[in-house]
Amino acid sequence: MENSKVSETPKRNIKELLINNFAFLGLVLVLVLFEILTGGKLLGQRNLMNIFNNFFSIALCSMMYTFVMALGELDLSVGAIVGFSSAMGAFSATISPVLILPVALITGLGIGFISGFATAYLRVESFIGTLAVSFIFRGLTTYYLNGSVGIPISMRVFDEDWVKILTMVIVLIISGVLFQKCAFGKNCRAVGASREAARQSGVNVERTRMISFMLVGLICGLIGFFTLVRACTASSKTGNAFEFDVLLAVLFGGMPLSGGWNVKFRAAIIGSVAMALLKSGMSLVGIDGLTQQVVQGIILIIVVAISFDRRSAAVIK
Amino acid sequence: MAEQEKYLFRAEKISKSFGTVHALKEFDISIKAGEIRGLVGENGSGKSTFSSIVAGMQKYDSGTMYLDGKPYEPAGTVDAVNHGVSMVVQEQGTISKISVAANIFFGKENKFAKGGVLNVKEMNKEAARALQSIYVDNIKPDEMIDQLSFEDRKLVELARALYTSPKIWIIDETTTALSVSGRELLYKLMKEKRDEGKAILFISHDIDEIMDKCDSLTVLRDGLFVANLQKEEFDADKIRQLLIGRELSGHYYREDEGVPVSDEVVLESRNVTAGSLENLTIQLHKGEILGVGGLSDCGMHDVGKALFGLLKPEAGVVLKNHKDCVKNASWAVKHGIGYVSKNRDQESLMLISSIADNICLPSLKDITPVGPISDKKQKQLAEKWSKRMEVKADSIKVFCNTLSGGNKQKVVLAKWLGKGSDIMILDCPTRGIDVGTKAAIYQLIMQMKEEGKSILLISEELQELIGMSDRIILLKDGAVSGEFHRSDGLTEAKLIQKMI
Repeated sequence: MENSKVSETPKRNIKELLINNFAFLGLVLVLVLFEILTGGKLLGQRNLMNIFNNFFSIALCSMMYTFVMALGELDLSVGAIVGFSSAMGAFSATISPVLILPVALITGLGIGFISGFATAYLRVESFIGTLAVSFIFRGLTTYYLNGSVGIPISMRVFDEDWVKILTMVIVLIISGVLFQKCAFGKNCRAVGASREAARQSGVNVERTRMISFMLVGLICGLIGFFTLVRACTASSKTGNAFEFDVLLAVLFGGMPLSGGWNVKFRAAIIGSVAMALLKSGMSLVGIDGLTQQVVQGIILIIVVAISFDRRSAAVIK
Repeated sequence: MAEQEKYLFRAEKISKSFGTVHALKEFDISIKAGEIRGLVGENGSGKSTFSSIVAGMQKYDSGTMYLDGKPYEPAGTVDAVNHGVSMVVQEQGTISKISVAANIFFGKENKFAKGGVLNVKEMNKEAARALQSIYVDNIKPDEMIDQLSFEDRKLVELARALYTSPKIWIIDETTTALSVSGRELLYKLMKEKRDEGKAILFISHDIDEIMDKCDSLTVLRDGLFVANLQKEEFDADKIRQLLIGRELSGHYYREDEGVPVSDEVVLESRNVTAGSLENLTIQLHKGEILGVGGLSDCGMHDVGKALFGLLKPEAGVVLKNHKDCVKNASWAVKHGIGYVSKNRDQESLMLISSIADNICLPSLKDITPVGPISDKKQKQLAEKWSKRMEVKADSIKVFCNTLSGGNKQKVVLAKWLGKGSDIMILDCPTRGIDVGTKAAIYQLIMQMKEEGKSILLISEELQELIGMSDRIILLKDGAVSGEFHRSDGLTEAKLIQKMI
């Protein structure tokens, strides 16, 4: 590409290459670092399933989060949706355990609808709107649960590995195809690239934004269900700080905050793997939860600083 | 030396490249005191690169410049202004969220500071004087810049550029942002400065304007000096040939006269009040090129937006084929209406996206109505129309922000051709575009007409309206103030009468 003007000198080429592939490099770095620190236990057979369980929730959410990131938006309510939908699921179990899954899904979808409506039609900035939604539903979860609510232990059958792996594969295929190949995924990226140009090219901008938030809500309802059947209780701590894990995963994977065509679906997967390794590695080394938070916060700043998309910033000015 | 002293400004062998692209190659130019020099060239020929180098906005790779016979090497824009070089840029050059006066004296506030406190009153007074010196009295110095129209902001930029009484005044493609009265003012100021013995470098795409206002002109092509012409050598066809480096086939505008147009109305507004429009009723017929013009604040751009569904009518309706109400832009696109905005970079294109993604966007559902969209068909569509429009790029994967203005517009048009829209709303489609692309766009409009497509051509250039339209509607204060047919023996003067 002669006129792309990026490849000015070899030195810049190497820098570009590093920045463009920093997600892979980061992933390898995390892997090697913790593999050494844990003396090979990280990838040991016993830990692999532990890593998968970490990966499961983060990856499910990250894949749908890709649509929101492509729009150039954020959703800070995912943790609260997981918490509230798992609480609603637990309540419905008192009527019949069959209701748990549909209730959790509908709850998630409903909250996604609220976030989407506020963002798309009421024109509330997404990070403010979803932060508010997060507050509301965290509050409601704590208020209604009043501690914790259990469900029949028989529901554990859904915590089987094959169920989760199957779910993962299905969600991966659906969201991957929807994002990479279908008009909806392309429209999301178009809106992120230029809202006005997308609108004038016939994209229904409001509906696209709204549906994206609903997809995230729906998947969080599903995650709420799996979290519930794993622990067999819903507590006010369920889904705590989950929004942070997901945000760190997609940014680590290399998604630009500005959205648009530079948002790649593979970033959701790479970032989720890296996050799962990081969390599992830190636990194995014996870093306590609070220190993990500190480390994650620092990593977030570093990741955003490195991946800041200067090209799009130059256009926005 | 004696030879050199005649010139106020001289540049010798100026070169500048961006990566592998040579924007300027050993470019020479000499300008005398008391001369208005036109600088013409197609998009990407290096005009703007050169003028921004002279104004200290960017560095050059090699060469020398002389000002008043002394070597001149501006360290930045402030240094250039201190040397007496001032420039008015093509795009918006004002700083938003501050007052008019603060804009005029941006970077010179120290003049009005006493013990660290800015004397705003004094600054406003001086700003009023600066505005008066360019004959502008409708702009108040304490007004926020954002409240002014695009044109008034340009006038503020003029006041800022001329306040320092520069020796060299560079005007880069400014007239496209001005209405007829604004242009007249600019021309008057140019003449005044020339008579004071200053040098003016005037950059424009409008050849008629250059021929009329400049004493001499320099033609640039692909970063190379092509020719210098004196006023007596000016000839529009010759200049166009020099610009493109080959002979233009046929004429610029369409030649046919009095072609009958179908009675069938395809798109209409009925008593629409929206934005700056007041009770507007217009009808676009099948196979018609309907021109819409007026002064810059007459509401002509809102006509396009309202008909495309971007502007919701407060009263009245926009109808397609007499019956279907145009609900929003998404509906309009689906029903075969295409729109090319005046703000190409903000509204018509996704800049940080490939040519292919831009072209395919409205047509995704046509390629594959439901489910995964064929990559191959997308590529075919993009390649076909990008080739048809002769977009100059290495591949359809090139991002649009690297393209020149003319090429960007070609991508926008390729997008709608690919969609196959049969009603096109074109808002200033040739704004800031080189002659070659302009001619291509006019040809395309004619071809669309021949295919039975209907075109609404909104333009600030009267020549363009007269040259292309079957019918012209003029607006004033958001309402129709005049209507002319192609056969009426139109002149600019006739149209202007109805505009003011």
